Amino acid sequence: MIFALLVHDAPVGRHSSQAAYRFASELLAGGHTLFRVFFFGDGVHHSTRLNLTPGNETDLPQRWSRLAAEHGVDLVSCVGSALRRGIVDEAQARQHALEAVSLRDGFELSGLGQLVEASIRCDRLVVFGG
Amino acid sequence: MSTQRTRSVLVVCRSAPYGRSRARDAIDLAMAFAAFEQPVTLLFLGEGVFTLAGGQQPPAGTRHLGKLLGTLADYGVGQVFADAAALAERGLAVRELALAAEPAHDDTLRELFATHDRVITV
Repeated sequence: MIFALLVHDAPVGRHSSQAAYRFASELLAGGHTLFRVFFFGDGVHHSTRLNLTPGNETDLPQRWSRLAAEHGVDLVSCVGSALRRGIVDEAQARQHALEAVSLRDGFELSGLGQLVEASIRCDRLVVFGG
Repeated sequence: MSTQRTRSVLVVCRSAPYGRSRARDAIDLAMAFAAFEQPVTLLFLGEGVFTLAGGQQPPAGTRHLGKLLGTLADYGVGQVFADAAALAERGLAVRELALAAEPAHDDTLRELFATHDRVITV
């Protein structure tokens, strides 16, 4: 079965984000396809590369990035949500003369059309943190 | 992979309009799905029904959601429903809402959740 996920909450402070990652790992382990994960609102904090997580805690941004590299999962952060929260890619940083790039490898910034496409193309769209 | 081009979407807003951005997010999502020609129904549950209240005076610097609701039709968001019990509990009369939402009782709520291809809670 082909899945897409929508993640609303930040990686820290809410359990729903841990659940989203575990769900993604398990469905891949079960032989299903994860077409795309769309991070919206505070969910875009998953796509920062400037976080530091204590060693005994799960670094969700790093885990997602690794999952994307291993399984070819498309990780998309909503560009509107991201720019408001200081998550910028190289193109945005250049365009707006910002002093740093904060988007983590494996993620891309794009619009809500990517969520709509995921809804159309997948068998199941599962929402975390709604 | 499916060749289907549209999936009906029920966007469910459960958050009050101000204090958090969730209600605004729900409206944005509904508009985006409608803009890409997906059949969209917007449903306000619980505290979310305050988003429909008439006479809103949002804090400075915050988008006026009552007015934003008025543009839903322009984006093609078909139907807007509000949890009838939640409206009554909060003293909101249907005729005084900022947008003509249809009050939904339990049987309608069950039907909405059962008949849409996607349910997106916000």
